[in-house]
Amino acid sequence: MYEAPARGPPSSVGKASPTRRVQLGADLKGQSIANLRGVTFLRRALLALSLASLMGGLMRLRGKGGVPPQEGGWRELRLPPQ
Amino acid sequence: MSASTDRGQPGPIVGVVGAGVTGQSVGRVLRSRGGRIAWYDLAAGAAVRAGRRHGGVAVDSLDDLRVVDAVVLASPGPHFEIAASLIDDGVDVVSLSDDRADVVGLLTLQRRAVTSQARLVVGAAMSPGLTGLLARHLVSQLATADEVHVAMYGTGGPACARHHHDALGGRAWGWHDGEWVERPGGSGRELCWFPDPIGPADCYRASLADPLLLHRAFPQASRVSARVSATRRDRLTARLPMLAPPHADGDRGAVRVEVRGSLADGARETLVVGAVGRTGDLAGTVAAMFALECIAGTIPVGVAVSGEDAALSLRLLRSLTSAGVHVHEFTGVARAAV
Repeated sequence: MYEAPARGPPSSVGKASPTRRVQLGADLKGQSIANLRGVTFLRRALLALSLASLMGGLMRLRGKGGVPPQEGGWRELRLPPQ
Repeated sequence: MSASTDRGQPGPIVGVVGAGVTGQSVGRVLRSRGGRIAWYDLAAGAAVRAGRRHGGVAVDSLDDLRVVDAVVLASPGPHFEIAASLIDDGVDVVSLSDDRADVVGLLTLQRRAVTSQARLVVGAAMSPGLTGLLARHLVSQLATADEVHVAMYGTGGPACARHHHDALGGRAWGWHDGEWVERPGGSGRELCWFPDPIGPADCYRASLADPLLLHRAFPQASRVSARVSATRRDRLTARLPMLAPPHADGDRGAVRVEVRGSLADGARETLVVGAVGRTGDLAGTVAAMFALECIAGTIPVGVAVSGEDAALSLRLLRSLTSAGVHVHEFTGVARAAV
């Protein structure tokens, strides 16, 4: 009597399939988490760099710098006589 | 107090509280002027080491200093409690405190000092202290003095460096057109030129006691400001704990005083003087000279600040230069090169 072949994967594969799927799912989930962490790290690094640049720029720009004396020099102070 | 070591030597006994870089400088100058030193430090070993190095005795308690002729407070602030306690016992006190809040408290001790016939010199260091003496010298050359601006470069010992760090992260007070103006520390960059070999340095507002004391000494000045030199790293980390430990021995420093006003004929004039040397030595020498003036009785009873008395300031400046402090005046026009 002809026995129709079972549809789908062989029984051995069929038994292993759910486990395989779970493993694949875990791998994918792990990869996505790793990717997410990488992106988060990258974002934070970019944010920190941006903030540092902004602060550096502010520090450079703030203040007029004054008008320093650039003509003349220093000499020993002569105190008035007593 | 085990004062037997120095028994028989001439000269007054001066207590030095704080045997750090600045305190040891105070002791060295006083010893060179015939003074006898009683050292006290919270770290007992430091006082003993200072005594061995510069002479004098180490005492175990602050109470042992109630019998000396004058006490110099060269320890990290606040000094209010110690100073109040000592002047209540009639002991003359010279405080090197540069903490604004502490200085405000010390200035309130006038009545207690007068009651006990004691003298209290507030802010007798480099900045404040030497700045007031230099400002008085410049103000005396002008008919009217409108502005007093001081700047400081460098720090003394580790405690001074910590205060410098904290000051940049604090609130800066300045006297501006008849009122106190509060601004953030680390703002107001100004390129200040100090005597050689320091040269130019960027200076910023900070939480300093100088404007308060200079305003008291020169009430006619409508603008008083004080700045300290700082690097970008100093400013960036000012509001954080110190990332690197301060150097133990201090370093070369400088102070610069600029006074603007007018001459008798109405012409506007800007005068600049500065001093350069090891920061601890400059501060210690100023404090030591104030202590000797207290002992000599030339400072009136009560609270005194640097630069208040013209004759005393001139005498102190002479003493400082004779003690090796290099004071320079700027000989040029305060304007940018073309």
